Formats: sequence, structure tokens, C-alpha cells
Amino acid sequence: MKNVFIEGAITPEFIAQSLAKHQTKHSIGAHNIFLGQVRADEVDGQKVKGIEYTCYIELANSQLETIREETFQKYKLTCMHVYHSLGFVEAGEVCLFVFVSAERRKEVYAATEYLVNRVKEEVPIFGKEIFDNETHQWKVNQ
Amino acid sequence: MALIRYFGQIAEATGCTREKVCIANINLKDLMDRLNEQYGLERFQKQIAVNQVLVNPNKTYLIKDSDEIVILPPYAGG
Repeated sequence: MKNVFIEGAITPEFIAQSLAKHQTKHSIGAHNIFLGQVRADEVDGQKVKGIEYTCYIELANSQLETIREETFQKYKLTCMHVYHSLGFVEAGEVCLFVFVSAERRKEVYAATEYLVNRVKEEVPIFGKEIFDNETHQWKVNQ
Repeated sequence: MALIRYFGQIAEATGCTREKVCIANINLKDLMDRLNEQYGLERFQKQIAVNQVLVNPNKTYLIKDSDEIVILPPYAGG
């Protein structure tokens, strides 16, 4: 997968443009999109104002390539795209964009869930949750 | 000189994201024992990658001078 990582938040304009690029592909009958948004969690009276993402890019890229190949083997998809933020993303902004397209809808629901789970579990990305008072904690995936 | 890289809360504990150290010809497990002691890394769940491949830290692996060893905390993408 190429150019997965984007500096800062993934904007609504970027998401709209990605969708627009697929309108020339007439074999597609179904798209499914997952958007991960930064939550303003409250911990001990402090609110998360954003998450600073870092990643071990060399391993991340090879893991993403494996995930891509295995997702295409498992589901009959026309195309798939994964985008993840690096750097600071404010609460309310989008940090993960998974976009799956196929001829019919059943494949895209299952493939999206599968892809999101694998990205969260297998790609070396780390998140520092920064609170309003500039203290922080490290994000843990549930 | 082998290169050791740290990420996330592990980099926070070591105070650096990378360091070059003279560790050739020692086992990975011995290196991890040394780093655990030096930086108090026992408290973290972690994975180790050598030259961009995840490895079993308990398996005997003799570190070479050109190796890049990366210590990774739990993943938290999304």
C-alpha cells in the first residue's frame, strides 16, 4: 500500500476527493468507509485535546503490504485504501480512513471490519494522548 | 556499532529514540536484560524487531554490528 501515512488530520475534503476518484470505475457497485475520529476522553478531570501519532514506518509499510495482499485474497474487492495520520490530530478530527470498494455490498462490509482490525492490531503505530493541561498518557487499543 | 531504536512510551523511558551501541556478538536476550536494567523497561509489554522483522526475544540470536534492533510498545493505531 502506498502513501498510507498523512501528516496531521485526514480532512473531509481528502475523503471526498478519494470518493470522486472512484466514480470513473464503473465495475464498482458498493463502497464502504470507516473513519476513526479522535475522542476527547476525560481522565481524572482532564480532557484529551488530541493525539500525537508516531510510527515505525519501515515495519508499518511491510505489514500493510501483507494485510493488503491477504485482504484481496480473502474478499472479492475492486480496490482498497487505508490512510492513517501521523503527528498531531485534534479531538474531533479524523485519524484513520479505510475505504473498500467492490461489485456488491456484502464483501465491503466484511472486508472493512477485517481491514480495520488488522491495521489496529498489526501496524506499529503509537499514540500519545495529550490533555488540556499538557500532561499525557499513552493510547491503548481496546 | 549496532543501532537500537525506541518508540512510544519506551522512547520516553529511555530518553531517546535511537542510540548506537557496541553490542556486537552478544545475544538479543542479554541485550534486553541489559536495557531492562538500564532503563527499567520490564514494566512495558513490548515486541522486538531486528532488521525490520519481528523476532522472538527468547530465541537465541547473536547480534551483528550492522543490525538495527527496534523495541516497540503495544500498537495503538486508529
